[in-house]
Amino acid sequence: MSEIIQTKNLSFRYDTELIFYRLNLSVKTGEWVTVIGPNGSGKTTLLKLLTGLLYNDSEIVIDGIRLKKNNLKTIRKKIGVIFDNVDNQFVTETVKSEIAFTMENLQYKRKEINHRIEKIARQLKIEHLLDQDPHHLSGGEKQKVALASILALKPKIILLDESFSMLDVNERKEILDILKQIQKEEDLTILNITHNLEEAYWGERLIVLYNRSILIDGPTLDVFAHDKLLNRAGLEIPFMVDLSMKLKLYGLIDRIILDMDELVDALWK
Amino acid sequence: MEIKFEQVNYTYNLRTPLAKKVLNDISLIIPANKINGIVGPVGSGKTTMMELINGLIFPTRGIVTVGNYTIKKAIKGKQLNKLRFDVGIVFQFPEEQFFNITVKEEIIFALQHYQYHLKEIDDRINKALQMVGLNETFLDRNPFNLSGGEKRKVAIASILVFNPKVIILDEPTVGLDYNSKKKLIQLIKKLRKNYHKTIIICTHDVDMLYQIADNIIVINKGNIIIDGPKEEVFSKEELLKANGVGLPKILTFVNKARNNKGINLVNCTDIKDLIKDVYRNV
Repeated sequence: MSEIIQTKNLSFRYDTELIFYRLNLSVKTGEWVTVIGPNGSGKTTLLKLLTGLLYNDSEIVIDGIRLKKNNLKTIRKKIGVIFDNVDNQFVTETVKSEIAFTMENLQYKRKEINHRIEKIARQLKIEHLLDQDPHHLSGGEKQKVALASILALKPKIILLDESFSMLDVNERKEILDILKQIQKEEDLTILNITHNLEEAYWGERLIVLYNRSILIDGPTLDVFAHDKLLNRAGLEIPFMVDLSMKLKLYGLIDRIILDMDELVDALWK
Repeated sequence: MEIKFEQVNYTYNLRTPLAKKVLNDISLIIPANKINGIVGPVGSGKTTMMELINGLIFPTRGIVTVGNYTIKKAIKGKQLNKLRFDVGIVFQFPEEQFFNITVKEEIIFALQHYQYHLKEIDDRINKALQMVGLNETFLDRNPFNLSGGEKRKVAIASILVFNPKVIILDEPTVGLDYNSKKKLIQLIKKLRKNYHKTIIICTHDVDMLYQIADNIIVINKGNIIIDGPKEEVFSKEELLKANGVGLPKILTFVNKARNNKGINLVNCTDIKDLIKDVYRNV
């Protein structure tokens, strides 16, 4: 797998406040990486730097192209961003026209637009919503529509910026499950920037930002094992990880189990 | 200070085409000197209840009483001012409302408008700081340069400076990291135990409520679905689920052990106690 996102010695400051110092990040094509960190650790700044919304001379390479002021358009075609509050992003009156909006502006052919809408709606299970007003949908449905509008453009990378923080547990699980499925089918690269460690379940790799740099980077379960370090960095270990790790420590189970039914089965066979 | 809702209705934009009824004949008692949690999906009426208790809005029909105050349109300005001394609201992200350049100015901002003597202002500031666990060195600091948890504490101190009997907290843990959240939970417990405050917390964080609340009120579509001691409310899993409220995770695990395997674990709020009990039962 090739590197699709790379930062080399990325340093960045807002006025006098240093946010990153020599941050080296590398994400391979098709990876799902969760980026987590306490308040003020630079999570959103990282997203803005990767999309060129903030810019300095540090080296950022997206899909083999070094990000520069004169190639932002090319870079942004490769990246789709989903924010937490998508209400303000909706500009049309039906879900169908919302998904079509950017494709129309980019002058895609009608046949191609319809084909993509049909496919995305099926993948995200929103066929029944296509004629509805996106403003009147539930929180989870709105996020699906926002995701559909981005996926229709076939980006190589999806950046999630606290995208599902306003959803309830069930809505969040549903949309992350669907996205995981699509990621596998389309070989998408996902960078999920969040403060909710539970969302790391969906990614195979977890990066913790702290004190201007990367504190820990590794397979999700390995990073979870650094519970004291995570707590010190202001991060709360998800209940199932905490429970499972402690039960393993007491020798009651032989591996970390994150699914509650499976854990109950493992304890009382 | 006990709070009572008697057949309370509330309609926004009454007598306009945009009229929207958000509370339907709700009746309940929120007991004094307890930590009371209000849970329910978005748009269920939680915030409206909160605003009624503080007299920010008045019932369309029915009566809300807070201690000796009756919240109604005819309530006099002086009474309303007194009520707001006794009932303090900490809104979601209160730190976004900061506009002074020192913590001291931020905390005393409202007090200055009530012509307190300087000595009394100082006494009140010191007491409020002590309650939230900040020391005097914070007074000259810029509130915008504090950590998320410290900002939240300053915001709470600026309410406590009035020494309210009722404190309403709207989503107090949202946006706080692990350490700040832990400290805030300790502070809420202390306010009830040492200072005998009546605490009302509107939140989605049922795990936090299960740890610290005495009573839970579940509201959905403007109706009170159930209210009572937390053990009783959280025992109604199906009812809660049908109304968009999840169970605390620790309790979900206990229920699964019982329902799937017939193992009766003790209902506990601490993961360490849960593990000890699992250990005994494996």
